[in-house]
Amino acid sequence: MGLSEPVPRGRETLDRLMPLAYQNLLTIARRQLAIRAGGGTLSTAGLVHEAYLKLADQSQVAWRDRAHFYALSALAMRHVLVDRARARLAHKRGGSRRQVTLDEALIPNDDQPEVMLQIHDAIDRLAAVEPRLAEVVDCRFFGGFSDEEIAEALSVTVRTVQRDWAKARMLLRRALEP
Amino acid sequence: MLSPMVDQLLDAPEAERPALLRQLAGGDPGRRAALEQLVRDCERDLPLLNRPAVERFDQLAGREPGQLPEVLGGRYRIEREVGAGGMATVYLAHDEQHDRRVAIKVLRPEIAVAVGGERFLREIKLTAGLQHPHILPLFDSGQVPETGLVYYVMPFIEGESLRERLQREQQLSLPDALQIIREVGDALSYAHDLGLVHRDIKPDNIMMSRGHALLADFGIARAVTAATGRLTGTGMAVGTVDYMSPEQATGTDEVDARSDQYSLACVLYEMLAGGPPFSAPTSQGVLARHLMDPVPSLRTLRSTVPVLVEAAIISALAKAKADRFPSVLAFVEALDGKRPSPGLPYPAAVAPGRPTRKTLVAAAVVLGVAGLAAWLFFRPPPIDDHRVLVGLFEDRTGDAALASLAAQAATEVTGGLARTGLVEVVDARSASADQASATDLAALRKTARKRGAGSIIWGSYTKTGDSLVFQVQMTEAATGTVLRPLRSVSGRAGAPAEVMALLAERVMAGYAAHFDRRLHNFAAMSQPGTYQAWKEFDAGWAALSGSWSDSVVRASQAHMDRATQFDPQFVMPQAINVGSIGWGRKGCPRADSLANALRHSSQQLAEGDEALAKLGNDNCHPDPQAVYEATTVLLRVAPGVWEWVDAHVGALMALYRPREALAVLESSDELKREGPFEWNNRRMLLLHWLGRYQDALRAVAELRLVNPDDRFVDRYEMRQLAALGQVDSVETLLEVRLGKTNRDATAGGDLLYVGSELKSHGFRDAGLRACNRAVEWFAANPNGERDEAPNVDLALLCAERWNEARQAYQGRLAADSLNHNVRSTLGVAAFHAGDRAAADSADQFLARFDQNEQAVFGRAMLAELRGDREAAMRNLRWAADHGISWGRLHTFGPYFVSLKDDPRYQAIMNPTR
Repeated sequence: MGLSEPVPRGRETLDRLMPLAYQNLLTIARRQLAIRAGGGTLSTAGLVHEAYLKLADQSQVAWRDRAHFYALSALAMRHVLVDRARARLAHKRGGSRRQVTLDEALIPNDDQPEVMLQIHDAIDRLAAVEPRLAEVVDCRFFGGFSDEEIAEALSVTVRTVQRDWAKARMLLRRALEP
Repeated sequence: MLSPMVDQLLDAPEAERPALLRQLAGGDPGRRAALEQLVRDCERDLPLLNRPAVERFDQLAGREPGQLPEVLGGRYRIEREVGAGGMATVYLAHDEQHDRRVAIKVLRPEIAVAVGGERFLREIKLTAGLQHPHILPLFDSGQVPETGLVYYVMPFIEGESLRERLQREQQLSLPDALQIIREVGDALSYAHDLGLVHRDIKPDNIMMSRGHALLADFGIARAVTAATGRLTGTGMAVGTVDYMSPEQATGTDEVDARSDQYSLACVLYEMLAGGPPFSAPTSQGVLARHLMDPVPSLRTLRSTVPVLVEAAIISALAKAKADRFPSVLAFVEALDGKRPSPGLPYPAAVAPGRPTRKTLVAAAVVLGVAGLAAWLFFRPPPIDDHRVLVGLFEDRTGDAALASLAAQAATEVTGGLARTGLVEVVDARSASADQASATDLAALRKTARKRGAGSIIWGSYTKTGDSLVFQVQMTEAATGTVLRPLRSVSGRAGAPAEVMALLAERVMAGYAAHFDRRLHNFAAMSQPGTYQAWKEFDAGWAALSGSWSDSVVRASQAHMDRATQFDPQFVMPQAINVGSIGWGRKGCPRADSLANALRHSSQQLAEGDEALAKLGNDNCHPDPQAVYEATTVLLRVAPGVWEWVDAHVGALMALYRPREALAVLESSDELKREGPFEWNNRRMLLLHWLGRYQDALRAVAELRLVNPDDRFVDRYEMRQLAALGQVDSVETLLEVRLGKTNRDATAGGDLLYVGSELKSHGFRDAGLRACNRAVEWFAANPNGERDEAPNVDLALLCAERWNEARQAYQGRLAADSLNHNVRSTLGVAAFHAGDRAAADSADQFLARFDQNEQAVFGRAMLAELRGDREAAMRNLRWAADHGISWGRLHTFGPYFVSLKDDPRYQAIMNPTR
């Protein structure tokens, strides 16, 4: 991948670089989830935009630009879900789940925590080789942004976003499936 | 290196791609193939990522109720939880702005919602100006915008609350106790002078710091009650009622400084006696005693308490505010002997004379043999629990205009009880010539015995200000003791008809609950305060008695919600709602927050209600151990409710304790009687699992008697026969079944499961025949088994049509790439189809999910195929210990035929418990 350094994307790094801002981002992510859980309609972009204006206004952190903020908010969403997956998994190992019937075929999986951690892992690996592709995945899958919003956020064309998404999907499939 | 080339290819129109590909490959066929594959892969869908994460991972994205941010208000970093009370959770936090430790109380979410955050903050600000050496100051308050959580900040006190000290020491020395009361009394006097009432004086709110008392939470109770009307009115959101004044308990009279005085006296009583003045199994009971009972003598409990102190406490604990001291200061001074106590308003009650065993024996002696014979001859009718004597209500209002209510109330109650059809009512006025004796318990009991009434309704009414309060007792005639505590009823004296209607409702609810197994135990279950509430609860329960569907559970929830609306203290319907809302998992966030709200009121939540909520929780967070624990409680506090017996047996089955499950089942008459289908069905299943196929066959026959129309009875029967090796019978039955039910939606499943059973027991050829016919049936009936779609693929596997099965599972995996069940069965099919590499790759994939029982179980199947018995046994054991269902172990029996003789396998399939 030439000379470009992989962008440090780990949560620890973020926490160290801009703890307060990152706390705010996590809060936004939780708020998004809370709105969803409450049955409310969700405009992720609107929520993030509002949060950005608030933060920028307070000038707590020198933001590279608004786009950067979008991408980070999606990453924060990933981390919130990953934290919950870890917590759920810890709980699951303690307890267990069963169904009782005589005819037991393919009962649906409750594999969400495990799958979430697998995806998290795969995206981290992707970020190490193709950071922008990982950002596109975060924005699209975790942030729920449209192609146009992602294009604006990452300062690329919509076509590039679509191409990146296709490539990311291909690489992730390889990471996720043998 | 490949990336720019791939980009070019992706951007090129379809028609130009071959040419571009040739150009980019530069004549290298390997490179060309690789590029082609990459582009194809790029255009392939990855279903896993098709929907946004919050939808694909809806269970993770659901709300986590009451979650607290790590930093509050931008400056308080939460360190840890230090305690939880009825209204709030307390955290130790670090105030980063002032670099100091603070205590933060976060209001329970359900209370914050009920109160309204902004309103609460407005109210609490009124107390921010309080400055007194014995008042814990309010530093700050605020609200978390995204969750609406409300908090307030106080100094962190190195020390303990009076509650903790009392827990340790039980009783305090007189000087210590008086010192605390003086200090708190001083703080209260200061606040009262400013017009502020605390409203929630209790040991938990008195902090002890270096030997001195600090009164905490000023204004909190007011902020809560200002919005909700009453502290107890929110139903779930109640603190302790041990220190609650009568006027607070009924909500009928203005709360003022004298209410604090009452509570403070309760605290003093507890410091001296070792317990609060009034206690009862339920909070309703405690409230009733605050309203009705004289103060139990303190000096009886602790003779060293000076008479002066006891007199002052009794005065401060007067039921009517007017009978207490005019101020807290006066109370404190009376304690110190500086001023006299007012007259004792409630002299210790004299127990009414009861005929003792001795006097009865004496009477028999006097009557002599002849008398005895006559007595036997004219014996009163046998005591019937369903016969009730209704007495007159004693008028304690002193208001001549209200005298007629004594009889009207009795009439109202009599009419109401008759409407319920639950009891036969005897009117005391017709049963006794003497009007006065219709309000006297001894006389009423005599009448009740004469008329064979098992219980008595009697009571009194008072008027305070503009409110009319009825006390009502439900007394067992034989013993004269309270049969069930009933809450008092109050309302506007100007509208006595409304109050009496409510009184009748209350009594009707009392009997409805008394004869209701689910509610009989009033100490363990919240009780309906009105008959309407009970009716709604009963209807909501009845709605759930059949099979559940969205509309059924919605209808039930509506009934249960109305029940709680009729009586907010009746929370049991909400505990049941936890289960029905969470049913089908769609409502899990709602169910979770309801369960959370109930749980956070644990101080108030009755044992049975708590267990019910825990049981309901299982729908969203399946945990058979929790169900087992919850149903164990329920069977103890409310024996004989068959639904709970059924759930208990279900939990034991899920916990691999089939023998215990069978024992519970076979000793449960009520389940056999009330839920014969469930009883026989579970029993059949257990017998099958335990290998008692002959007995299981008999159970199937009983099942058929109970419900001849059940779709699955034939299948059950054939499976027992298959297990017993009666292959001919099975095949004949299958023919009959197919002949008569070509359009029957279950025939395919019958063939599949019977075939699978035959194979499990070594009848491979017959099994294959059945499974092949299953495949044919599914092909001919594409919409046949909508609810058993996986069976279609499973039939291919069972029929050992490996290539077709492999294809089917590949299609399934494309849509759900991380489904471990699909992947493992795909591996099995691939292995048999000769593609060992594919089976190995499935195994490797599953190996990454070494904490998921489905994945581990899949690996056991693949290990068995490879002939790796050790790995198969290890994985099976792990899966069995970590929640793979027993039913699944049995269904997949055919895949473990080679392990059948292994004692370890037998141990899994045949547990000892």
